[in-house]
Amino acid sequence: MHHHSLEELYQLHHERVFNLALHYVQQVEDAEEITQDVFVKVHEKLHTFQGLSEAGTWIYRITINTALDYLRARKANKRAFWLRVVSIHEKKPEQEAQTLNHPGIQLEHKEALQRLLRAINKLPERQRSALILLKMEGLSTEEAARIMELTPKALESLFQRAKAQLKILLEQSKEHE
Amino acid sequence: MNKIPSKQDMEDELYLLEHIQRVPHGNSLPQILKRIEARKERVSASQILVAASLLFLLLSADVLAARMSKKTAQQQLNNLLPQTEMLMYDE
Repeated sequence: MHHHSLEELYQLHHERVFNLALHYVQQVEDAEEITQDVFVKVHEKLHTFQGLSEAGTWIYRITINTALDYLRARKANKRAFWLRVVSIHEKKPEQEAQTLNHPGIQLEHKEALQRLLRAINKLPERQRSALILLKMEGLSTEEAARIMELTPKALESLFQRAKAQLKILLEQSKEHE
Repeated sequence: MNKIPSKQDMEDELYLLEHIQRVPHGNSLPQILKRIEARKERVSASQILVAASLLFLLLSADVLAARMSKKTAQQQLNNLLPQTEMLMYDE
């Protein structure tokens, strides 16, 4: 079995880790923070990596978990902030407009993609991951299924549910416009 | 009235996702190595702190045990003294 060094794994995977994190958080600084966190975790867990799956699959799994943890923490912080605001002003908070900073989005598609990404951000975590891996990362069903530790059939069904849910969310967002 | 997206519209919407371009990423390995080193130092510092706390606890326990045995000896002596005095008067 070939033993990988941190440097070697970094050179091979840092671009994909960064871009995958960027798809989740849509903020360059946050994606950079997640990328660094991922490789610190890779360094810590390198001795436990059995080589049963490919190193890439293992690293992308760590990336997804780190990005989702990051988003959960961000949501909790935001909730705590709003609770403080509400306790002062005694009124319900309005939905905060999310600011997207994704340099991979071209200007001509910016508005449509922002609307789409806002809806994707509201999907349940597993559905969101299926959509990101298949549509944004362009992975095959087999690759995405390996990363999410699902059978290809289960992933396909998760993806169909994601699309159905996304359709509802997009309809709702159009109604609010 | 707003148009409800059909199945084809959904595919078109998702097709937009494929237009998101990959973003180049600079080399952040030096920062990662720094963070790993900093973490190692933090772990060593906390290990020293735990060891020092354990040593302090052991010493405290030792001092307490010595005090307790001194107190017990004093109590036993106090118990014995009247008996000794009684013996002396008997003689």
